[in-house]
Amino acid sequence: MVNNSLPDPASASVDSEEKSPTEISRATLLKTGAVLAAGIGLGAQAKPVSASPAIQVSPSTVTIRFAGVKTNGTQPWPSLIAAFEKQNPTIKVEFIPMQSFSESTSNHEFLVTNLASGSGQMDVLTGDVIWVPEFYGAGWLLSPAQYMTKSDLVGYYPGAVNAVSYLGKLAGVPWYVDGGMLYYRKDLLSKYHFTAPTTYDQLVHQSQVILQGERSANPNLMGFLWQAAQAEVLVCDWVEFLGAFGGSVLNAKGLPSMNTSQATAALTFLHDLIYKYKISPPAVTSMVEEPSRIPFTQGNAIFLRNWSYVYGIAQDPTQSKVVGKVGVVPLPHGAGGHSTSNEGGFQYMIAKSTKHPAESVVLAKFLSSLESQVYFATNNGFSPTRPAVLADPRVQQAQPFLVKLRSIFEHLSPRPVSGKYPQMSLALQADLSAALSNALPVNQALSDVQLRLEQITGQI
Amino acid sequence: MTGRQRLAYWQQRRIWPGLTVVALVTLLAFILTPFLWLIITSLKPDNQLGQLPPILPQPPTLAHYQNILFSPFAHYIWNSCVVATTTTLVSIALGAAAAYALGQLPIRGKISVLVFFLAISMFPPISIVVPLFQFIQSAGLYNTYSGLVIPYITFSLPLSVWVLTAFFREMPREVAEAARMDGCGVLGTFWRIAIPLAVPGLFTTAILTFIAAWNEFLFAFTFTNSIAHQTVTVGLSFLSSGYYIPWGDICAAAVIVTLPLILIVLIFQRYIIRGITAGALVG
Amino acid sequence: MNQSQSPVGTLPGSAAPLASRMKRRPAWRGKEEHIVGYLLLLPAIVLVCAVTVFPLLRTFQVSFTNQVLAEQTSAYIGLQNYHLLTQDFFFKKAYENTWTFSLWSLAGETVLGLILALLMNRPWRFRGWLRAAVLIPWAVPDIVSARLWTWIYDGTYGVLNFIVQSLHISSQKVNWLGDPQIALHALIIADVWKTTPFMALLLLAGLQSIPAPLYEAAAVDGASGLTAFRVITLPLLTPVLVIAMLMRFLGAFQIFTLIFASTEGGPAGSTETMSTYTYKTMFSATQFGYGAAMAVVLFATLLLVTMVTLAIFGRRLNQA
Repeated sequence: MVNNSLPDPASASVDSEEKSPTEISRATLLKTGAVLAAGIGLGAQAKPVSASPAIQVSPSTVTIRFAGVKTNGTQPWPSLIAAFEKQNPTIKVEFIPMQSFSESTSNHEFLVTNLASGSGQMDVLTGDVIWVPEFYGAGWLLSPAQYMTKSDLVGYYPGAVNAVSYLGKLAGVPWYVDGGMLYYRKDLLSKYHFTAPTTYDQLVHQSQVILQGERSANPNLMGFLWQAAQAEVLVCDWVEFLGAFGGSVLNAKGLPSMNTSQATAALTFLHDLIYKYKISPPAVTSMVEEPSRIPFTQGNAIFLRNWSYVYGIAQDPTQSKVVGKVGVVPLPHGAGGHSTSNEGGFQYMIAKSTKHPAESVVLAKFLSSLESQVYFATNNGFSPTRPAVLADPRVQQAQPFLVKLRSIFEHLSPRPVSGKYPQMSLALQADLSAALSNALPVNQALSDVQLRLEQITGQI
Repeated sequence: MTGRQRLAYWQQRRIWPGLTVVALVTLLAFILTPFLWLIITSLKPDNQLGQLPPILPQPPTLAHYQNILFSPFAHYIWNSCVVATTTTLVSIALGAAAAYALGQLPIRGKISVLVFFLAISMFPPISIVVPLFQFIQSAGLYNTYSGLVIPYITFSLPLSVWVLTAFFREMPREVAEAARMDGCGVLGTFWRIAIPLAVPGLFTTAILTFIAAWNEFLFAFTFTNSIAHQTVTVGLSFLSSGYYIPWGDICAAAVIVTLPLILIVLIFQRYIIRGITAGALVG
Repeated sequence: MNQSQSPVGTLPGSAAPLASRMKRRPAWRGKEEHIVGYLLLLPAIVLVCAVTVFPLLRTFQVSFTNQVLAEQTSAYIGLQNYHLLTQDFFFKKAYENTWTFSLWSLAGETVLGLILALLMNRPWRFRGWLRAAVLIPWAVPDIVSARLWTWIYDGTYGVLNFIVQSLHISSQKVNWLGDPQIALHALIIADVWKTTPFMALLLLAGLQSIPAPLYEAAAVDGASGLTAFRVITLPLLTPVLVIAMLMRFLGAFQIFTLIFASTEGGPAGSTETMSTYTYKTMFSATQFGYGAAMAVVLFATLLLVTMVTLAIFGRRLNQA
């Protein structure tokens, strides 16, 4: 399990590192041929997809294990797995339930324990996009590159392929991406003759005016809710706010840049939101996604930064008191920056210890195919990693919100891509939380985290 | 009556009893109110969950209980029952045997053995979960009941051994002597005399072990991967979907999961109290 | 039935019966007892060794390496991890927090537990129900209790804020779990809620083993309630109290679920404890070597506390 070689960034990604049990001869790859994704029987009409070469799988029946994270809404896995097994009668899929997105740390522990022990307990797994570099760098993942060609990758957004690559090698297969966005109360804004803010100055001003005006009607109304708990989501928010002020966690050379004026401006702004402008309650320092979503859908907040899942809940009358009153736009920007949305989302990965690599890749490709992604979009509201999905009439009809916000999903900013990201994240969480909860002054928090990040990255 | 006598009279008759009742009511309120809130939340419809007022659900709904009871959640409860019961029975058996030896028979280095058992519980479980996982894996026990029961027994042994040692230690030698005079061997004495006398300690340990095994999460989550063998604590964590935490369902599940434990405690509470005392006097 | 047969133990000053018992021991006892004794002890010890010794030794071993799973490193570096711990600001904070948490929680549950025990010791008619009611927090699973308190403490829609504002104790909503100054104490209260019942029952049992004649004699001599408490109750309760506090301290020091399911160690690391920090180090950062060193420090601390407690109170405990 412990092997000291990292994947060589210089090597072309199609070279295989080990012999697979099934044979693949490049000469037999077909340029056109049966498409795995088409004719699945999920949707009414299958759109013709660019041809993908057939992968040779074992002629006898094999069982592969798929660890699938628990999504929101109706679980997609049973239908997809059934469709897959129908398509591929020789491959049986055993489903291993993982916890939901909100239990990110437990899922991570579960995967680390399994993968680190080379257990072979799972063949295909789903993992947070930020775990790709970590797992691949640890040597726990099989690169699907040897089973995929350039034409396979053409159908994805370039950002999506980047999200599943590490040091030039393909480390996984894209599933879905998500990004932070600004939800707002259309009714309140129009009552005060505002349109959705594009800068943070506008957002602050609008909040103050509306809060003042609505004080007697709803004393519980809050201005702007986001997530500042000492948890991973704080780093997501930080990437967005930092980008909105023109900064980034790592600069173009890949070095930590938290001691810049942009970082100071961003963190000061966040601090001011709570303590100076007072449009964000101090309680944001205990909020992750749901504790910030609930007051918003209860009608007690004007603005909310959160992921795409909130939209569905906001329109559900059994959950929300603001049905039909919610609008969504890209996040605003501050001085000197541009609207930034942080890249979230889960991806498919293949365990290196798998005994059935070909079949595993076939499953991953199926789950990542156009038809599957259309299903994810219509069933769960997941933003796709293939442009063609948003052009599909079924998606346009069922999820116009996704289509309208495609510009967000096409320009997502990832968190630092590094095998050391988990350590960086812990340091960022600690220091940012300290500044936002007034335990440390802003400048000290930033210089402290800069030092830590330098220590962490300097170890390379 | 002198002034002092009068004061003493009032103190004894009115003030102390008054204070006592006030203290009792306050403490009971502290203890019961959160659980009451759990129950109230479990009866609230979803769109009232984030809202106060109203404190009480308007109207109360059994939807959350239906969600739990008519879902595969029952499997988790069954698994927990199997694992907790097996753990308890085996732990008592092994613990009683070891405790009898430590309490009644000549063993060298008793204190060291007792501290050895206690030391097991001084290591944080997360630090040993990976090597333990490897051990479970290589023994072919992944995703089985044994894969949970065996670690659980091991970590409940310190408790069994300490509490039961105290009980067996207090067993009077005269009784053992008499039994031996009658021709009982050591094992016979153990089985026919010591065990019956130690019943309070056995019940105590049984309940404590049962509750501990029922409530354990980390191993249950790491050593299993399917509903066929996962326990209630894992099931509770699976109630969340996406980012959404279904507070109503979680509270309903919590009530369902806690009630059997409370019932067990209600039934056996007389025995627990006598048992805990003895465990405190091992020294 | 004389006192030496009571399962609740003998009182100090019972050396006389012990001596006479020893004199009456028959001579043939010996070999059989020895062998059977070790045989009875064997299964438990074997199981413990088989299951835990390998993982524990492995953790010790790994603590001397720089194993980071995500980087596939694993080389021996001697005591460097321990040296790094002494310079790790977050570790020191976590260590401090753990002591704060443990001591305050212990104090809270002991005081409340003692009061509750004294109250339950009175001849109420509904004693059985009282005991069952008091046991409820202890019967609730850790994860449920943690989530419940997070729900109660929520900064915008939690019921505690609602009560606090309704009673005009505060005009603003209190940021229970988001304010570094109060988050740890909020969680201490949650832990006291969970563990007071256990302490109360332990102490109640201790109280019940103090014979009533002692109190009657004190009353006849004109001693007040407080004096009796000071002179009779407290000294005779000490052995039970010490063992209970030691065991609860071991538990509190390793607190994990309560913290992780609510604040995950935040805000600003104010609720980070040894266990949560070790968990993050080992699993979020996959720094197994460093995390193992933390586990060893935790273990050593607890072992030290146990040894010191047994040393100070050993004689008192043996008398009982």
